[in-house]
Amino acid sequence: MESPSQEHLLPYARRSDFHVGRATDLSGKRRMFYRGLEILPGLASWTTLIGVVLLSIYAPFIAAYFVIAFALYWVLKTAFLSYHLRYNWKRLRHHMSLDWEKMIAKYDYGHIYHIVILPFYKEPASVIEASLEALSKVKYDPKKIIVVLAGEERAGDSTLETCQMMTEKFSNKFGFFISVIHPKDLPGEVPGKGSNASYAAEVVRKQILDPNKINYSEALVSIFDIDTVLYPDYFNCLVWHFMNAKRPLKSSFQPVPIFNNNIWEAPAISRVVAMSSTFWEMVQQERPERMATFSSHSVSFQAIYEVGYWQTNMVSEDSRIYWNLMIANNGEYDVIPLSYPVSMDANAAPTFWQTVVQIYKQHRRWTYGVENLCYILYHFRENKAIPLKKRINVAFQQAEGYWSLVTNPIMLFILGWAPIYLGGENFHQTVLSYNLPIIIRDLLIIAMIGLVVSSMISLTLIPERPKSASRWRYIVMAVQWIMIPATMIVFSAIPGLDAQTRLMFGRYMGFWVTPKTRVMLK
Amino acid sequence: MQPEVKPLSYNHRNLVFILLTVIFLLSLPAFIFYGMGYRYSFFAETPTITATGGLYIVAEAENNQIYVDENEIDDARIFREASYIQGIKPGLHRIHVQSVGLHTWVKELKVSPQIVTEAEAFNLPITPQVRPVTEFLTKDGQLIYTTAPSNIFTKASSSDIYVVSTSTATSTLIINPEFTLLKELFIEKASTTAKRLALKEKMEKDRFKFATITKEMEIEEELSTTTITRDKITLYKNNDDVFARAMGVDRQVPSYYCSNQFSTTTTEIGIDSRLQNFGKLDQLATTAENNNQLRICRTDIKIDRKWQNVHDFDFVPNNVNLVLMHLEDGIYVVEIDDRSWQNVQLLYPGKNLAMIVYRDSVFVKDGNFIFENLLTLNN
Repeated sequence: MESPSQEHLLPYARRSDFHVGRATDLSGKRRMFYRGLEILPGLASWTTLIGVVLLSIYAPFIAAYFVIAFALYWVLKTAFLSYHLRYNWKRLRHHMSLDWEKMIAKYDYGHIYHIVILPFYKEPASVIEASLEALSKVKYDPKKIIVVLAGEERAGDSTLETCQMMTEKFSNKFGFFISVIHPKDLPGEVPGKGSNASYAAEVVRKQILDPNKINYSEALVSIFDIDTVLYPDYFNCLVWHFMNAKRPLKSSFQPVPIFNNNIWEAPAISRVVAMSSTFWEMVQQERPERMATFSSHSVSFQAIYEVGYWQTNMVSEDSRIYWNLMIANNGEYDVIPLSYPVSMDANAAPTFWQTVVQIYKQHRRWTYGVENLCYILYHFRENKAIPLKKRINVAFQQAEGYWSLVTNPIMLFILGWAPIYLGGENFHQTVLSYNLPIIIRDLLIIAMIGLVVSSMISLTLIPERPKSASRWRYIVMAVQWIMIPATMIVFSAIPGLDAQTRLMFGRYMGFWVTPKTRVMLK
Repeated sequence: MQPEVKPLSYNHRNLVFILLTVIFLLSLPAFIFYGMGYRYSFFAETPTITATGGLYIVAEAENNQIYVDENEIDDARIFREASYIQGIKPGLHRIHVQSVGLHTWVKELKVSPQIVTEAEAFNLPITPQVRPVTEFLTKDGQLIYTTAPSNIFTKASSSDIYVVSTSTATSTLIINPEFTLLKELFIEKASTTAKRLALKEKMEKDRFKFATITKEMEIEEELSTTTITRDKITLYKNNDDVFARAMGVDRQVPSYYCSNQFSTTTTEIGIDSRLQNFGKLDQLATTAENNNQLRICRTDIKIDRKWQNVHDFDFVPNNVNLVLMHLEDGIYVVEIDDRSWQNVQLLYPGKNLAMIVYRDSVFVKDGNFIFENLLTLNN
């Protein structure tokens, strides 16, 4: 539901191809070029993996040197990332200990409204209620909070019932509370969070902002996954960063998603994967020039209005909105790390195998974010107003990120042994062939020190132990990190390769909604 | 008011990045050269970089000790039965593998720069270990001898408990089906051997007579029952000697059949002098399509028979590198690997023995007694 007028859009955002979702949205040479970009990531990853196998067969000595170099690189990369992680952990804990209400007291922030968009599909009412309950307890003037419960018509009658139930319970706790039902099968839309949120944002503009003369630049939109539970100072922390930002209206604000709502109930494999995602975001918080928005985040209404809200025709809208904003603003756009947490759910299905499948599908959806690389490269070619250095840096960082996500774990934990098995007799009888597994093993053991850091940090991020959970669970939670090599392959590399291969062959993915089920321990 | 913990500065991060990059660039060559076998002799008078080789020793014996040039090697085990010793200077080295109560395996092996020399050690019990198979069992399954097997247990040891009884009343004893089966197998083997010897004798007699080619071929075929093949290694008898022939290609051929050195240009360079002594060389895959394979291998190795007549031979169960040799004064295990020499260890002493290998076990018939010969110490 886009506004027919495009005057409010930034000049670059008025282009017909600004919201391109896939090659088929374009025509002619542009379509061919975009299609080529869609093929590129999968081709690069497969070429690398097959290349290592071929190298191991035909040039095992070179393959062995490469594997040693790669393992060494991995150790140093682990050290580099652990350094960022440890630092952000320190900062996160510091931020959680601060009284942000006091911190923002010196600013005149009373005019700032918070619009909270909560898109949902078929999640149980208990999950939505918990999120709204936490939202109602935040330390911020409730009159300045606009809650938008955004349901999907395609989910059926239960959506309306849930909306009514929540409206009755929570409407008097906030300045504004509206329920919006996103109609199904709107033309040009991929069903998913992006299309739902965009529809809701436009409804908010028309029904709340405009009638109440709320300035778009004074309304901060926080789009949260429906399982997001806020810490009390979130909005105060957000306002502080908004007030202190170099260009607040040209910035997105990224909290640290900690998947710990149900951490005591989730299986170990799910905890490791969830905590790994959190750690990755924590690392990124210390190098904001590499950041894009992810999952729950905040941004001024003005900024998203200028680019036509979230894209409705693709899957990974949470990151795409940042690229929309960055490109439309000719590169003059930032992500500001809040280093303040929001709590979300780790994957937990009724059975272990359902959980495994659920994690896999969720990560495949996340890694399908590689579609953003095509978008970035396409518009970096089109929008020459973005400084060339920035375009090169960002393109390289993003390309390297998606390539290494898929190839690194497989090369390290599987293909690292390929020269030994495929290298032939002449290689097999060399000292190098015998030393290769020893060197790789020793380097990986050194890299495991990074896991010890992760293990210790993770224990500080979990909520209080429920009485029904044994104290031994703490030990399990510390030891569970030995699963990392397996989880990296199964829930990072393989779903990533799956996603890239689908994109490569034009088998575009739709939005898969992660089921949220909670069995809370007392 | 500002948070006290500031975000990591770009300069600080950049500094760490540069530092790690320098570490990477400096340590990578060190790792690669180390991996290739190069070692720097820090404590030598004139420190130099040496290209070293390695030894890969497979030894099944429990609690074995490995010595290289009289120096015991610790912490070299990489698998349960295998040890990898690296950093060995190129040249000839004497290897001992020993364990309490077992024969010592000794070999001199040539170590080449950047190459790992592989060997399989074997250590049989010094006192032969046997598991008796008696003709009768008691009702509760205990072994029972009707004649005291004193002549066996003077030269072998067993941990199995048996009783000696003079009674053969079938009402109190059970016939041991294992003994019955083995007895039949020994009879069958004796008959086949007799037939083969008769054929051989006939062939010797007919040597100067005219014979049709077809008939000669038939006789050859009969004689070929002495050929035993397992995992691409064939044992065969030629005149009085037993040979082991490697039939496979590439990694199917054990390393001791092949030159241990790289041949980079021609097939002749790097051929071990041992290989020159054998007429039959098999150059493995030296084509451009598979230029990774440049080993030069021979096909046949003669098995040491201690200048005695060979009554019988077979592979040691589950091992294609060791041969059971039934000689005049006993049954021996001989390794095919003839680098420096072939280790020969006595499995069971005695004359007028018979030997069969059945279902991964070696059975020996000594007079009227049958038993399984064990390759490891009884616990």
